[in-house]
Amino acid sequence: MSNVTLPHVERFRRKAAIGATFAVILFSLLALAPFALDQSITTDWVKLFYLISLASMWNLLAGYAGMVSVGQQAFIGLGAYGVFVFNDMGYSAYLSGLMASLVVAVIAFPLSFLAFRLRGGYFAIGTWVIAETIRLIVIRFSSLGYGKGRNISNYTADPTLRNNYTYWMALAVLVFALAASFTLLRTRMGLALQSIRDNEVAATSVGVNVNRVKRIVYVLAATGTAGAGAVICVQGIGIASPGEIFGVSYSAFMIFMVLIGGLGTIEGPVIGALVYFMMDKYFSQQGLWYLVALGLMAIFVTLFFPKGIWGEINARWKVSLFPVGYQVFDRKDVKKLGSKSNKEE
Amino acid sequence: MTLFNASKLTAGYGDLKAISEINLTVSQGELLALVGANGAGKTTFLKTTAGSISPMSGSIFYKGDDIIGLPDFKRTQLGISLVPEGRRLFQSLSVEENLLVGAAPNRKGPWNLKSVYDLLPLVANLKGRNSARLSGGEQQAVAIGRALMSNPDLLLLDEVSLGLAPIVVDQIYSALPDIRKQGLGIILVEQDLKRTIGVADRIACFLEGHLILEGKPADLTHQQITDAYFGHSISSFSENQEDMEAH
Amino acid sequence: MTWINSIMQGVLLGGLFAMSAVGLSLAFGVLRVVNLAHGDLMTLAAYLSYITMKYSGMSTWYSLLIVVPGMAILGYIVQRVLLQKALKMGELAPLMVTFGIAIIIPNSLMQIFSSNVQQLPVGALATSSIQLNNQISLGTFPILTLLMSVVLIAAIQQYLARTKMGRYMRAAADDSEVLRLMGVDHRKVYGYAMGIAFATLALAGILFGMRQGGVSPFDGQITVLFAFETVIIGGLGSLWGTLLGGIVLGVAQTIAGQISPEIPLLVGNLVFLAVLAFRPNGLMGKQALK
Repeated sequence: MSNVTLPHVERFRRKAAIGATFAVILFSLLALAPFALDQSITTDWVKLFYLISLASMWNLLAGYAGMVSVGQQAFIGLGAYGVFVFNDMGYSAYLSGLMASLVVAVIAFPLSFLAFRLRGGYFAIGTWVIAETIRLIVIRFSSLGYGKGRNISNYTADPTLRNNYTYWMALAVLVFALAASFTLLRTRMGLALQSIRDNEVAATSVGVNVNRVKRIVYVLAATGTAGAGAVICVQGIGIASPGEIFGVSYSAFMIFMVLIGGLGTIEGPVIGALVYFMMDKYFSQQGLWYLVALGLMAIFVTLFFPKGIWGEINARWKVSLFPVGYQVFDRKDVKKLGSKSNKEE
Repeated sequence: MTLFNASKLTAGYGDLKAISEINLTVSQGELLALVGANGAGKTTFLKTTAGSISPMSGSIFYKGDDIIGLPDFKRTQLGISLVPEGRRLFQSLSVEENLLVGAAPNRKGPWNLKSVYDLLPLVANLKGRNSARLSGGEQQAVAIGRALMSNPDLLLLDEVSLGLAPIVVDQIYSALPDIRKQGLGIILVEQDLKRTIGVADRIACFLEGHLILEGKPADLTHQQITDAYFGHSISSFSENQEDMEAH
Repeated sequence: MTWINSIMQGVLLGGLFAMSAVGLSLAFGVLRVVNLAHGDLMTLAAYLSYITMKYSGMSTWYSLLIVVPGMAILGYIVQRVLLQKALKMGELAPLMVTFGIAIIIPNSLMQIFSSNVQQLPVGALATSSIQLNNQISLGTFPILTLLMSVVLIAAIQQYLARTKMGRYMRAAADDSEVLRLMGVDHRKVYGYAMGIAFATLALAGILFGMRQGGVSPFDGQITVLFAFETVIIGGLGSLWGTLLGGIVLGVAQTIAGQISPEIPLLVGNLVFLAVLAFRPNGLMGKQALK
């Protein structure tokens, strides 16, 4: 046998550091936006931010942990209704949103035990059942408005301040969603996650505690999703109806965004959310045909462009803004590498 | 007459090449045995021949036709039948139902329920039994019967004796002459070198995905074969025997 | 006595749940596809029945003769053209495709037909009933649907047990890779399985519509959950288990309805979650398709 030398593992540390610095600068600028930009723009961006958050969280579940959920609307609704609960107690709407998200994390933990009894497609419908059950429970409460929806009781009177606070809340949720995804995936847990996605049985055989990792992802995704739900509620100063906030259409949007953008990449959901945001801005007047078009596009993309926009770009030009992959090289090739990094995955 | 010919066949899983540039021929009525250590590529070769795996490069000719592009089920319809590693009977079907599924291609030939039961009385006794309740040896017999039901011209046997008691393996091997009487070609993957040498018309030895030795058993010495099997000198041929007995 | 009446009504309702679930169970067993559009396809069938009646003047019962076979053919085509391609791409793809269908159908129906409930008359049977004693009277229509359910399940079971294609379907449920090695064109087997699944869900969808007095676009998003809960409560892989599951769900909902008209769905869901928590294999669960 020849002598075996340990391979060199490239983690794109320099690239990641550059990416991270860039991100910090970007988010700082975004935080200052309300002082520089017109309110109509920042209000639009609130929607974009929570869309990106929702897409990232769905992507974390499906694209990285391999769990397709069509029931994330459970947490959107809980996040939204949680705002009412804490707001009624006297807390500001924004703080209520934060607290609601944390409570949802606590609720998601035991729920995961139920949900994980199922696999694959049955897991998917199971999440739908859980969402429906939660909705049916929520509408029993008069304090929550029964089946009719309700408004936020204590909100900031001044419209400019209110818009700004809402904007920063949405930005905070966005930062949480992206940071959580990125950090999770760059740790050992991220590696474990991707191994689970690729082959659960094999992952178990190398010692990955599959259930624990999946549970953490499930809870994290629930939290981020709830945060987005709280933002939706705060922006609308209430909810029109429980059927709407707990609606399965949200799952449709999330799936669409992630498929278009690129399943299993960090950049994908951002792009997908942008695309959806544009479409929604210009086409949602068309009524339900718009949803039909989304459905058709989702099928089309699944069958013919499964990698999504970013996935195709990534495959073709091997670009990555937020590298979360590892690349293993034989030590003798390292000198030839320079600073060009190659494919991730 | 050449029944089957693989030329520069390379195949594997993902980026991993499990077999590289394999050239092999089987004639009608011939039994070609593939030997080699675990992971040497023998099963991959059989699966590529059967169509379960798409090759990366190379060609496969069967009865003169290029079958590279054909999916597995079409190849079975043409007469290539694989008895897969691990038997893989349909667990919720009875033994007879398993055999009936095997007859799917509806090819003409000597094999049908009656003749298979005559060949393998062991299987005949089990016909109504649920397949999940059979012992390893019983399953292997049924799996072979099932493959015969398609009246193949090229029979692929993958690790027929793996995990089975020698007595059971004896019974299976004793059916081979009757199977071969019909003139079909057989490619047999077998760990047990002694048995292999006993039945093969030709032997091909795989090592790490490559074909490194080929010839008639009479023309090859024991030493040559075992050297090829392990890639270098081996301590004792009999140690291998003891391992088999212990299972 | 109203409790016994409730239970019996629940059993009858359960028959309908079971019929709706059979297709879901078969599709999963043979193809490993969970059809998220299952309920919406049931709704589609009901609308097709409505359209057939409107333009031909025939009764709902006769429309069955056109829509059910029509849906069977549709199922075969959808499987061969769409789902087969998705299946080759991995586990997630079929889910996305069926979910896409689940979004397209109700929203299209809504745009075309508006949210009105479209009538599916039962005809003379609507009011006829069988009087068992002073307090219990069972509608003839519900009894008929339960009977149809039982006959359907028995028929499918015989089909699986005795026919060549049925045998291939059971084999596919065990090991589709080896089935291909046996020379069976799996695409055809899958197509037939989906065809049967679509036929049964079409029947269930129309009967559901008849029972509810009509059909509206988003009904499917509820019926899919019923079908799914029925399969899980009964246990994966068992056809008769599906009947039992349907009955359990039906009884749970009906009894809950006795207590308060607002909670049948919730109670049904809770029963499902309880079974999931304490008996995840369902009441009659096995692994194989029997």
